[in-house]
Amino acid sequence: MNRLEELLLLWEDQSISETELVELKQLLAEPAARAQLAEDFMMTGVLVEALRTQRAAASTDSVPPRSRLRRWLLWGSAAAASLLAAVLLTQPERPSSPSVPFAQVELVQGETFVVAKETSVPARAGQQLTPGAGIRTEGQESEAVVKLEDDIRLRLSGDTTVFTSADTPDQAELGTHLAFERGDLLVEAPTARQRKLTVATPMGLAIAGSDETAMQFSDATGVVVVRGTIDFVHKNTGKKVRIHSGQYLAATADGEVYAAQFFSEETNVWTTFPNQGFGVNAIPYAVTFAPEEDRLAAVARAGRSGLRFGGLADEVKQVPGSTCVAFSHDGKLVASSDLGQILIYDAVSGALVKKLDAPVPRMRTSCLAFSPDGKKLAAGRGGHHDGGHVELWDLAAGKLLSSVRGHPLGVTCLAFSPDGKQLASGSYDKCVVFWDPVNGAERDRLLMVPALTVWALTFSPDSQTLAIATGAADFRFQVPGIIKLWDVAANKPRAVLQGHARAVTSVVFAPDGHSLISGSADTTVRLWDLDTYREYGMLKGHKAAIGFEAIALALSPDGNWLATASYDHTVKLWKTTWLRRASRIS
Amino acid sequence: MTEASKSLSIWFIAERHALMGFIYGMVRDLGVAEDIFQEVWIRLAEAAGQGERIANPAAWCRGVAKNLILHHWRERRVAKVLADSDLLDLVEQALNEHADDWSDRRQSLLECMNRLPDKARELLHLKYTEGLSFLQMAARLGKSVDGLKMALSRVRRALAECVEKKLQLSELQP
Repeated sequence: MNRLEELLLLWEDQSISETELVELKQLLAEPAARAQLAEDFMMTGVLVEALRTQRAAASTDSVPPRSRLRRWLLWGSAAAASLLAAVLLTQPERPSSPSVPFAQVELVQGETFVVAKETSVPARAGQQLTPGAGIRTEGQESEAVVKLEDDIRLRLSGDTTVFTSADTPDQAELGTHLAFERGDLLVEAPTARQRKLTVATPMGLAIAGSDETAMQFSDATGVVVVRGTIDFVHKNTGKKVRIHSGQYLAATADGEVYAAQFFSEETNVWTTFPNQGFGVNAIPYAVTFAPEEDRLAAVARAGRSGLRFGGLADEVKQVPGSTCVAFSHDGKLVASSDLGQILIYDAVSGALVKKLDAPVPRMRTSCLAFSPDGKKLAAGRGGHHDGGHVELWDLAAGKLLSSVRGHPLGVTCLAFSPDGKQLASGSYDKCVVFWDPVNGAERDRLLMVPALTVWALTFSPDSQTLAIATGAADFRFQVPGIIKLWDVAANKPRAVLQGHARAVTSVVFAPDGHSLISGSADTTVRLWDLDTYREYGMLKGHKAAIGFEAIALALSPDGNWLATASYDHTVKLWKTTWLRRASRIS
Repeated sequence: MTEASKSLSIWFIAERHALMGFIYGMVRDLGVAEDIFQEVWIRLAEAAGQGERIANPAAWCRGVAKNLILHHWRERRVAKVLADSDLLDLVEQALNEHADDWSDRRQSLLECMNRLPDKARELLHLKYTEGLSFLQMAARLGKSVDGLKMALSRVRRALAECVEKKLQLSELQP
């Protein structure tokens, strides 16, 4: 490392002294040093953006014992495994001090391992864990139960890692200390204890604050209190918040933590519609309510055999079509596409009403939107690696009004403002473009910062605000999804809503415009108060991502029902009366 | 939107890394850097929309970013040694002199990053995503500050070399 590099590292680390700063400036008087600095800064720019969008890969892959174990098992070294297991199990146990928790594996299912810093061996029921050791389940089907002292029980779902005791004696002195790394973990502490139970999470410390405590930790929902009370201390700010049963930990972008209302499936889902009539491969992509009725009018699912749609009580219509679906505002028409052609169907009878040919044959249609008056249809074209065209069609005449290659990459979503004066398109190119819905001319272009794919767009009922749902281009990445509220008239951001653990895939405004509901690849639905720009509730019931086609959420016209469509093959109908009450409490 | 402002916005998207590197390098806080970056974009779009002729957009953006960085330092009362306007001028000069902005090397860098060992990726993650200081990283990883500095420097050098090799290979191909 040369001296300039060393000084730049100190500057970047904010630990540079005055003398070193003077030295750095003297060095930069040389053109060669300035050239090195330029290289250094530009590389950092690319690194920062790349890490921002590839965080998941880094976080999920950075588990050395697992990859080592995989290779090791693949090579069939069963003997070596037994030997290592024997070594670990016969290690003399450290003298049990009163502050070090004793742990025993009670149940294992699937691939479950006992992990220490550099080792990982298959776990078995009855096995005792040495202090500092952890347990890891691999694969969605795996699970494990570990019992600690004081009857504390850890229930691990699939792909979960937790370390069972403090790494340092200082931490151990504080009480039973757990470190949750990732996955889905339920910690139950049923009896009163002298010493505190503390769980370290990536965001901070959760400390059991009552006798009967059960807390759930997961990548998607963070910390949820199932029973009792906990105190949560934020890692960076040191701020403390008390969270009661039925609440979860929410945080603002600047680190302020607070308790919000958690709505579980058991008490808040009115009904779950399985795939009945749609076929096993059909995943629900889009839901809509009939106008002026509280009836779920149409659910669109796409399987290998085309598009299927219909009200939940109606006969299912099967027609040519794809995952790209739009419902007209009066609920009478359904638009989809097949091999580039745009097909308009009667939502009730399923009859083909109109066929619009692509200007370039077989050009992939990725999203569609009807104008509020139903006279125009906007179509977005292109996939992840193609150019993105935005088309505007006159529906009555079946005529293409304009077609512009407005995005370097494919279009992902479209939205008309309720007053019909704006059309917005989002894309894989991480931009939102505003169009004139009369002539299709480009008006403005927004670049998403941080650089995230735009997955869904929706205008507020007064057309003044555009909600922009963003996230990683791949929904498996654990990159937090962000919602931006854009002030359309002032052309600047109004607020940024952060809370989803993965890409935000759908957004809808409540009819009164005071709250926003978002669905995400993290499987949750979140509720946002638009007066305070805070998250006030979370619905958790789906087992897979809320769909990616931007219309996987629908709110009934009176705001009493919320429908969600998920990759777990179900559509759920939620009671929103409880949600409004939560908003008032918040 | 005029053709001029459209081409400006396409330029901005393609060459965003140099500007982000400049802002992040000076404020060393990802959240603040993104806010400033966004503000520069808005001001560029406004200027272009008002018909302002911008001969050198990269320099123009850096100029605006510089003012915003100075404003940020004043507003947050950042310690003098960490908010040095002379250094800011020197960095601006360095970037004005060396126009290559790494845009064409971005894909190669991503590929090289994917080949890094887990530990190296974790190091980058802790430094640039979580924004930890070397002291915080040392406490977290149980390693010495000097060792971590050397390690980060080695990772960055390995990435730069990997990118260089990839570029040479691509130049050799017909």
